[in-house]
Amino acid sequence: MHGRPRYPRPNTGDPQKLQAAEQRVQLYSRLTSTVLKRLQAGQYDKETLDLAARLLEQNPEVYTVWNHRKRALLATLSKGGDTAAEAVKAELALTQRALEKHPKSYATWHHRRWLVAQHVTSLQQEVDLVNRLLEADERNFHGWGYRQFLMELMQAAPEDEEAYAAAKIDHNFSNYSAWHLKTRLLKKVHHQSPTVTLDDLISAKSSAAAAAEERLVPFWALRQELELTGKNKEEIVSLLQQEVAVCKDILELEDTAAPDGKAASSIKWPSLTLAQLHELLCSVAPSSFDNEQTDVRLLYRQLQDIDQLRAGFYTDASKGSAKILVQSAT
Amino acid sequence: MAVPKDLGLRAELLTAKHAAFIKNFAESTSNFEYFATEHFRMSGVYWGLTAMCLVGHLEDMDEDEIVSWVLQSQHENGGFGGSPRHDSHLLYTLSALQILALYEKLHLIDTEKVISYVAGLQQPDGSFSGDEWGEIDTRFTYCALLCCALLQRQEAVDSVQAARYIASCRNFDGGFGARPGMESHSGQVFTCVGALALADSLHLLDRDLLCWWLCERQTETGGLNGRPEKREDVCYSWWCLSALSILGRLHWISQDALTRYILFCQDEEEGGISDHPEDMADVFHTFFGIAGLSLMGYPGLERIDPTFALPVRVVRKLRPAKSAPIST
Repeated sequence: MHGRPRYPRPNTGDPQKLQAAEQRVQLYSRLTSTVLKRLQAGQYDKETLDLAARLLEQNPEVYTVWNHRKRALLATLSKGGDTAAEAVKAELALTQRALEKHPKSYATWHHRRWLVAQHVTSLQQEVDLVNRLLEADERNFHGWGYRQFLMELMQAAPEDEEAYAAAKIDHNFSNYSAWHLKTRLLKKVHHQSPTVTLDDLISAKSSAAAAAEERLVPFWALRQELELTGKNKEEIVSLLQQEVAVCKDILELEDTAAPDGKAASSIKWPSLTLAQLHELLCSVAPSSFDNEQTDVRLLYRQLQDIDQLRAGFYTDASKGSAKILVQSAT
Repeated sequence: MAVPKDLGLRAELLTAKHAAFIKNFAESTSNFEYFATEHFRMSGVYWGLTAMCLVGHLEDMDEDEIVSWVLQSQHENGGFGGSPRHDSHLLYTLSALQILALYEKLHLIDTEKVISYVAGLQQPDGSFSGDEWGEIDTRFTYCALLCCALLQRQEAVDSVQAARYIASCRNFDGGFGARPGMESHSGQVFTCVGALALADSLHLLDRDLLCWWLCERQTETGGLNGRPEKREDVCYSWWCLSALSILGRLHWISQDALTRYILFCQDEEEGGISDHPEDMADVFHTFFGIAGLSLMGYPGLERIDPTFALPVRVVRKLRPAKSAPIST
C-alpha cells in the first residue's frame, strides 16, 4: 500500500494486460483456497507444505499459514536430531526468501524468531545475515529488533555492541537507529562515568550533515551526566556554562557563514540547545541567573520565526511550559 | 513533492468521492487486492467503515452482511481472525469489536468468551502476545486494553502491569518502540500513549519530551513522518496526531500545513487518499487522512476519539457514565 504510483492507472485499456491480471487473481485465489483448506484439515504432507511455501513467498503476511507451518514443524522437532535440524534449516531458507522480497514482513520476522528460539541453529549465521540486511537498509527496525533478540540470546558484551553502533554512526552520522542503540549501551557501559557522552555532544555539533534529532542525543547525555555523576551544584553550573559557550561559538560561526540569516535550519539546533541550557541553568541556580530568562524568551521568539511549523511549541516553551531538558535533570 | 499553493480540485475534502471509493473497494471482490488482503480484511473493513462514519456515509454500507461476516470470523477460542478463514489474533479481535461498536452490535457476542481470549494472552511481565504463537509487541497491549474498554471489562486484565511494561519500552527520546530497547516509532508511540491513557497511567511518560519529538515529525511538506529522517506519509497524520491529541499538544504542529498535505494526497478523479501525493489511493490511507482531519476539527466531519479510534459519538454511547472523549 506504500509507494505505488497513481499513474498510469492499472489495467486500463490493454486487453492482454487485463487477461494476465485476471489469470494472476485466479491462480492466487485457487492456491490460497487449496492451502487453507488442507492445512485446516490438519493435512501437513509435503505437497501441501510446498504449496503453502509458494503462497508465503508471494504474500508472507498470511500469518495463518505460518501458524500451520509451526504446528507441522513441532511434530518434526519432537523427533530431534538431524531431522529437526534439517527441517529448521529449510524453514529458515524459506523465511529468508520471503524477507529478501519483503524485508518488513512482521509475520515472517516472528516466524524466524520462533525458529531460532528452538535452539537448533547457529546464532552466528543469523547475526551475519541480519548485519548484511542492515547494510542494505540501515534503518529497518525489524532488523534492529531481530539483532537485539540475537544479542540477548548470545549474551553479547555491551562493549562489543557499542562498537557496532559506533561503526554504524561512523559510516553515516545520521543513522538514528544506531544512535538509539548507542544511548542504550552508554548507560550499560559507562554507568559510572557517562562523561564519554560529551564526545557525542561535540561530534554532533561539529557535523554539518547531522540531521535534526541526533541533536537530542547531547540533551540526553547531559541529563545522564547530571543524574548519574552526583556532581555538586558548582560543578553542574560550570559544566552547563561550558556547553553554553560551545553553542554560542557555533551560532557565531553560522552567523559568519551566512550573515543574511538564510541558513535558518543551521541555527535552529544550536539556538534550541542554548535555550534549553539556559532553562537548565535557571532551574539549577535560580538566583544567579535571573538575567538568563530574557535570553531564553528571545531565543524562542527567534525560533518561532525560523521554524514556523513548530511555532506552537516555541510559544509554550517561551512561557516555560514546554521543557525538554529540564524535567528529569532537576 | 512540495504542496502547491493552489490545491485546485483538491482544495476541499472530496467527501462524496471518498465514500464512493470505499464503497467501490468493498464491492470489488474479484481483483487481486481483494484476495491478497484477506488475512487482514477485518482491519480493512474497520478502516473503511470508520471513514464512512466520519464523512456521514455509514448507511451506504450493508450493515447486516458486514455484521454477520464479523461474527463468522470469531473462533472457538473467543478471538477473531482477519477473516473467517484465518486464525484468531488480537489485532483482528480489536477491529471486530470496533466494527460491532460502530453498529452498536456489541451485545451480539459472548463478552466473557472474548475477554477470556484477550486476558489469556497477557504475560507475567504485563505484555501481551498477539496470539498463541508468542509475538510480543506494544501494539498488542493497546489492542488488549481497548478490547477490554469496549466491553467495559477493564478489570479483566492487569492494567497496572501492562502500563509498567509499556513504560519499560520508553526510550531516551521519550518515544516508544515495539519491545524494550527497540527504536521509537510514531506508530508504536500511538499505541503506547493509547494504552497508557486506557490504563490511566499517562504519568509514566515524559509529555514534553515525547510531544516535542512528535512535533519534529512534521516535515517541510506539512506531512508527518514516523521516525527521524524518514519521508512523510499520510498514515502518520493519525499515529502522531492522535498521540499529540491525547496529550493535549495538537497545537505544537502546524495544523494548517498538515491539512493541506492530506488534501493534496487526495485522488480527485477516483476518490481516496494515498500515502504520498500522486501515489495510488487505498482504504488504509483514506481512513488515516480523514481521521487526522477529523482530529483537527475539519468542517463537516464527525469528531474521532484519539484513544478509541472511533467516532466520539460511538464512544459516548459505550461509556454513558463518563463523557467521551477521555482526552482533549
